[in-house]
Amino acid sequence: MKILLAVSDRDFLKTYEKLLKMDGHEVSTAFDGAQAIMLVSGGYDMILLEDTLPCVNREQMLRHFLQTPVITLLSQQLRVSHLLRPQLPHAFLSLPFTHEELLGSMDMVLRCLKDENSLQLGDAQADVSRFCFHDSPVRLTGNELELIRALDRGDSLRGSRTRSMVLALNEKLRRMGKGARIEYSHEKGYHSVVRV
Amino acid sequence: MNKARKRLILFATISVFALLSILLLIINGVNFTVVSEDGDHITGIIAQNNGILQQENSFAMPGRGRRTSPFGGFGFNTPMSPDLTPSLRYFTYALDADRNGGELVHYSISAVSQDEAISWALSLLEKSGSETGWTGITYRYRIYTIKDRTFVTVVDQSRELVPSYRILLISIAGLVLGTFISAILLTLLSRKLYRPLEEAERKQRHFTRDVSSTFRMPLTLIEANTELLERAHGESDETRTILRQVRHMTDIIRQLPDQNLPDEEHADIRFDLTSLARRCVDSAMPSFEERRCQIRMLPETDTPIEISGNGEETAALIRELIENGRKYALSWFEIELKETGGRITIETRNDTSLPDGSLDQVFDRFTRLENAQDVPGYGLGLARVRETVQLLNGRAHAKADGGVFTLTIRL
Repeated sequence: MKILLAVSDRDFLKTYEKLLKMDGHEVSTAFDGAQAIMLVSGGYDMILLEDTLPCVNREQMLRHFLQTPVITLLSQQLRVSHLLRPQLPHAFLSLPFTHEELLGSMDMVLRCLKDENSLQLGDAQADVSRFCFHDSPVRLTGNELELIRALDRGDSLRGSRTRSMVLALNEKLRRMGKGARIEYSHEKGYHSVVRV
Repeated sequence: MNKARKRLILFATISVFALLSILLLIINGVNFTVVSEDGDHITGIIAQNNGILQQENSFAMPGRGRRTSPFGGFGFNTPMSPDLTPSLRYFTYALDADRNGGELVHYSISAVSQDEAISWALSLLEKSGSETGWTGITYRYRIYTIKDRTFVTVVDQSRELVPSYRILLISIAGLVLGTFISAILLTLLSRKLYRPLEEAERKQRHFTRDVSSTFRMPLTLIEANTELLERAHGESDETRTILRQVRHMTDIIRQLPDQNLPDEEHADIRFDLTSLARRCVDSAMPSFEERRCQIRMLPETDTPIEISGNGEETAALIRELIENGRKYALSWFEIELKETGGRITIETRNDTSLPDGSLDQVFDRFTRLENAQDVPGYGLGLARVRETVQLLNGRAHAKADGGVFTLTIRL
């Protein structure tokens, strides 16, 4: 896979360039937004983009990378405000992460892109490969799609990270005017319901 | 910080109101006492003169008409005015010893008719338990006996009371205005007072956030480089140790609060509190049975209580309360959920050997009461309860009363 790694920390760039090359990927690096935008025409299969990359506006950056899967690297916990941005990457990954977690995140995004199926969340339907809800401009990240998939399976979901995604999804469902909501119960954890 | 500031303003305003009320109550009390004493003085003179105040008697007694009240007010020890007699509105009724005959000895009061004056006097004689007093709001009376005849003198004090009422109204207006002005001043001044505290709190939050985010990148790099070393030179004890410690630090960093999450502070996820509490009670039942202790949840009908908030933190709160009960209950423990007017109360009760009184100190970190001597623990469980309750914008109280220890959580 051809990967563009855009992070301002040079140690990080050097280390992960080596690791990803050892995994058999072709890696280019950029340490600021201007350089990243210049390189993007190189036709990459995946972009790993630091959330606070200097020299350019984040929303502007994501508009340049529309056709390429992007994973945004966060130097803080994933929050509701990250998930409600107008321009969303395909996934978020919070530092610190292990190499396995990075590879897992990349696999998840690629899997979603190839998944032609839809996922049901109450009265809302998520178009997996397009990373959005059906008939709606409301975008979703791979993290949220995985959550919807787990809800569909009936997995028991808990934890503060899940809560941020649940809050963001509930807000998106509310904006779309859908009756589906995710609620919490002690036995099931987070689960979906449809409120009339 | 905003809550603390609002509380300061509220309590300070209440204190100002209370202080002003006490002062004005004293002033008005003294004022009315002076008027009463003046009334008693006048009726006393009338009584000395067999129920009639003649012109020539106006300086008769006592002390040449001087007011003897310690609260003489203006004109303390001032001689009575010679103009008083014609302007005094009063009547005196005398009743014979056998109570068969009576007459109006003096009547110079246009506000009541003679018949009304007689019935008034008779009702005072019948019902009144004291020699002097107020009657009909602005009238001062005295009951006295002269040579087997019982006299009732009623004097109209409305003219003397008018200034007193004026002072009372001004006092009330002053009280309201004073309280209002003090509230405004406190609001303005407290902003200045709390600014350094708010700044310190903001810096503390930023510090926690900065520590958290500053450590994230280095930890990621240490792990990644250790992996590179392992790939290049194989695993070793040293690389395994590094990875273990890095992962331990990563867990700690992930648990650190990133900063206050304003977008999540008031965010709602709906859940059924009753069902959540029932599950917590059911899972704690075996450990209570082991201790031969009963556990019960009320109400027994399990009526759903749907609320919006943080279900996981609420579940952790309930589990902590139940665990506290399991450790310290002697033979029984119960948990009760109530919903009143949109507010939720979670109350736990258990039998205890603690003395009666408020026990809010149990929510302080590392505080353990006398009944905790043989029970393992560090005094952190209820401190966590209070932190969670505060996060949920609630309040927590503890008390012991008649051998029952009660924890009350209001959300």
